[in-house]
Amino acid sequence: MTANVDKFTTVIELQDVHYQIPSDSEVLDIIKACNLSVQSKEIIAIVGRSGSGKSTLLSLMAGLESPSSGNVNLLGHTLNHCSEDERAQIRAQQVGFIFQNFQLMPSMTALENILMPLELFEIENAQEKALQALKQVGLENRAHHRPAELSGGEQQRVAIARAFVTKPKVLFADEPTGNLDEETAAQIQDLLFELNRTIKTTLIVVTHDLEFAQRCQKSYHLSNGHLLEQITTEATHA
Amino acid sequence: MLKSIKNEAITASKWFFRSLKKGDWLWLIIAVIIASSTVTVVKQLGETVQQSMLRKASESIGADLVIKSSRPIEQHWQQQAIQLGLKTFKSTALVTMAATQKDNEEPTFQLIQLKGISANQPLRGKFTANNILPYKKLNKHSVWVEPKLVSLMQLDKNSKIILGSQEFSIAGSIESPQVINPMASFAPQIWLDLSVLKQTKLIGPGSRVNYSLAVSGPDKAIKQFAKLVKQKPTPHWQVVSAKAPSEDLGNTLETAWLFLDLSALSAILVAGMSILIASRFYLNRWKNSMALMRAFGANNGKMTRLFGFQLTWIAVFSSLIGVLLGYIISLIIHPFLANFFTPLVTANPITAMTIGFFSGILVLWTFAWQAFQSALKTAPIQILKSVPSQAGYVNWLISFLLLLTLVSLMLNIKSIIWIVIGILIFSLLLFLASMLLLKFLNFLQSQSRGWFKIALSNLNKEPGLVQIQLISVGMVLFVLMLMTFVRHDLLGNWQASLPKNTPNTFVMNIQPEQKLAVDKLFTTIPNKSEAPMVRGRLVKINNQTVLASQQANERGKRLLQRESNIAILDTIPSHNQIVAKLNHSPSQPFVSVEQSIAELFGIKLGDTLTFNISGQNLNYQVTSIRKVDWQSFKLNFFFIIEPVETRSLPFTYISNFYLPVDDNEIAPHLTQQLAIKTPGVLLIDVRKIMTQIQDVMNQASWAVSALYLFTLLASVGVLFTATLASQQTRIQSWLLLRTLGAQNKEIIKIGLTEFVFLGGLAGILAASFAQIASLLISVYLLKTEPTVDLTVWLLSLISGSSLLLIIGLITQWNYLKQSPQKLKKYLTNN
Repeated sequence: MTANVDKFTTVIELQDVHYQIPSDSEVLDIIKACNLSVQSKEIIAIVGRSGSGKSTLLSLMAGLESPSSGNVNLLGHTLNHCSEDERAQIRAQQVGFIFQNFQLMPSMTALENILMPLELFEIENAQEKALQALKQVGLENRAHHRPAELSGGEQQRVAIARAFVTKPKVLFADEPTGNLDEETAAQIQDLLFELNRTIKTTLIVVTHDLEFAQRCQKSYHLSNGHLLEQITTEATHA
Repeated sequence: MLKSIKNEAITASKWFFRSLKKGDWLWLIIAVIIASSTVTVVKQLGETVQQSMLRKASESIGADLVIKSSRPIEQHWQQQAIQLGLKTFKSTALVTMAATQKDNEEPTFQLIQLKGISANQPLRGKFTANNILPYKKLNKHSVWVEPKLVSLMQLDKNSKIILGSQEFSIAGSIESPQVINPMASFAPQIWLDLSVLKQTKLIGPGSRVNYSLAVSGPDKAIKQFAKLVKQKPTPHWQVVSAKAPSEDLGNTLETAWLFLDLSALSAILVAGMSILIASRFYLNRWKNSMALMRAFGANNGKMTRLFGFQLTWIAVFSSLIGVLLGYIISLIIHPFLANFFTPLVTANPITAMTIGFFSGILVLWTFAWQAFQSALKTAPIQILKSVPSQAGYVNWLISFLLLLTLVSLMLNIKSIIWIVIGILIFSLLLFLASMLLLKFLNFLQSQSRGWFKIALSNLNKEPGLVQIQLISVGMVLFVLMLMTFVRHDLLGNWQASLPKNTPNTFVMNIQPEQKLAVDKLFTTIPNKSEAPMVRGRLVKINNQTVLASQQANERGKRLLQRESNIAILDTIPSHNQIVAKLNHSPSQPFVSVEQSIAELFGIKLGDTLTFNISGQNLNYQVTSIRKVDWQSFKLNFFFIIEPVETRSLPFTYISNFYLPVDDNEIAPHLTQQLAIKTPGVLLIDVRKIMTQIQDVMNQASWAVSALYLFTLLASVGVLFTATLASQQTRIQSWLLLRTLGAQNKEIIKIGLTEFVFLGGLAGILAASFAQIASLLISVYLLKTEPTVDLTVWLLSLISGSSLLLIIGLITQWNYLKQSPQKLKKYLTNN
């Protein structure tokens, strides 16, 4: 199940993807005939109003959910044909996540939170790698603090370090600055772009922050289940 | 694969110890510690109590197991016992006459029970020398005599006793600890060396001699020997075990053992409930980490193993602490036991500790299983949005099987089938009842206003949690009430069975012409009762001969082989309860039959029974079946026949009364007077056996009360942990109310109302179930009279509310008065 992403220019491809959920009286169309192609090392943003289905689209791309119809291709794997375990393996080897509410383990320290994926997949020199990641996000002196003892920005930095520590080929970020003030949000955006450059990862950001979206190479607008490419701001983040 | 599992085990251990340091698993750990320590304590004390009581029972028969036979017991049985590592003690007893003669006086004769013994001490307990005469060890030329014989035969240290063809000196006056069957040893005893019994030439053809082989030793070897004996049933044998020295004592002990097991089971179920609440509390955390790890790419197998290893670590770690704590507690309690149990036999703690350890592990897995499975089913998408999940039927089945395994650790395997049915019905009813109560809460909320509405809405906010709380608090109260009922029934029955002034002395073989003289002798003794009786044997039922050899049951065989006492009365004594009565006049003189005998021989109302009385066969028709309380020591008979003028029967009188327990002089004095004034009349003093039965019952009731108290404390502890484990939801409510501007007064009212309401509802639930279960247990398990008490519901309602109010006050008081800032801090840190 390993695939060398460098062989593929297209890391994510959605072909005529539909996603429906049944409600009490009718079937709701969340995503309608969605087509998308994301190239390696690209930074794209998906914007839209609350409840427009942005997070659902992200979960379909990451293989956390399966579409009602259509194909999702991630890093050369057609996810429709993969079992749950096979999708997990793709994520384990090549995908990282960042969440709006950080999703840090409250009882673990910053260092332990970063160690978690490394230990989970029995990656060697876990401690050194985790410390290095912490240093990269500028929190080496906060290693032994628990999330409750960190500010929102610091917590998101820890979450970013946790996402980058396994050197993923694709990084999905669900409203990474949604819970942060303007200044901290800008710092987090800078950090994400910088890590994208140094680690050469593809970054998919779901956000409702248009300014953030404008800093990405491409931006798509999700409205009424349809995905529309609206802005192209190549290299504005650079 | 193996390497990967090993690595996962290491990672899980690392995570476990990391979380442990931070106190992450605290509530689960406390609940498991309570469960395993309680089981260890209850099992260890229970086993110690059981072994001590068995030792006492062993002393009452002088051994762990005794074979009694009317014929000599083959030598190979003794050899087999020795090969199994058992100690043996042989004796041969017969009733004969002893004589003594002082210089120039007429010889004095006395009916005695002569017992040849193979050693100077019994295997369990010991002969105690009485200081009336100087004590020496037995030799070929001496005998020991029972103290009352000294006064009966006017013996002194120089007296000689003639037994058959031999004359013996007296080596002392001793008391035997053996009081197994006082009726059989009504004659005073004389002991001599077994090897010289033959020389007395008292045993001849036709002599009624009782041979016995007593054995003692390790329990395992005793069981093996008992099995050997059972494999070769011999009709003239009677096997008496210390585990059931007599039917009545056996029943008492069995009931006590059942209670000990019930208390251990209660403790574990109560702890289980706490785990159920705690695991629900942890479930959200587990789900978060599961979803996160799933999103990161961990597959199902990996998650199951990592999480499973961690739970196992919690189980092993907490069980070990629990077992150790339990052992320490039992060591602390141990010296107190010595005041109640003599001799105190300390049980090997390994068994109790092993059961305690596995109970801890099982209790965690049993009650955390649903949460574990629910967490494992967490979809990775849950990290982005909430998805409802449901537990599958298979998981409920596994939970149930785990619970059964747990129960089987605690209880005798024979009871399992009842437990399975009980748990199934009980769980279903409990679930339905809690659903109904929830609906009631909803209704009440819609009808109420103000702070009361807020309090109820707080309860209704998480119906699942309230349901678990209702069930668990109800369960704790139910278990406690059930134990109260059972304990009350047990103690009540034991105490009622042996009231003060219970008759303890019998006078038998009073010929009609001696009755006046005997009455005169006993004029000062109050509450004397008497009845005329004959000795007879049941020979036919409805003209069909009944033979001992046809009986499958040992008791049936014995009853047919020997004559029984048959009372001749025209009315049934008031202390007998008639359970069935013929509703028309009998065609023959009547006989009333005791219930167990009627069941044993299949005797029904209207049957004709033929008795052989002094060589003549006489027919009687069964007109009633009676229930007899044998433990009452009143004058009771298997059969009561109607006096018929035309049937001349060789009757005698039997009488019984109470003699003060501590008066050691009165019985020998009366015996002596009877021997002089009414020769042949026998006085049987059963005070010693009654004291022993009373001792055993006192010990059992003490053990029951002590374990009851221990379970009570453990249960209250569990309620505390359960409350603290579900603290987070409550704190969120207080925070919201504070933020909205609620004052201390309102928050306290709302907060405590929740507890009072929950406790009250759980109390009603518990009382209903406890009453039903008590009825079932009384009737089917303990075989005692059931009692229904309506005040139980009221008491349960009050005690449930009060208990939870106290727990609420203690656990919530600090938080109810905290500022929003501090409440928020608590939530972020937990």
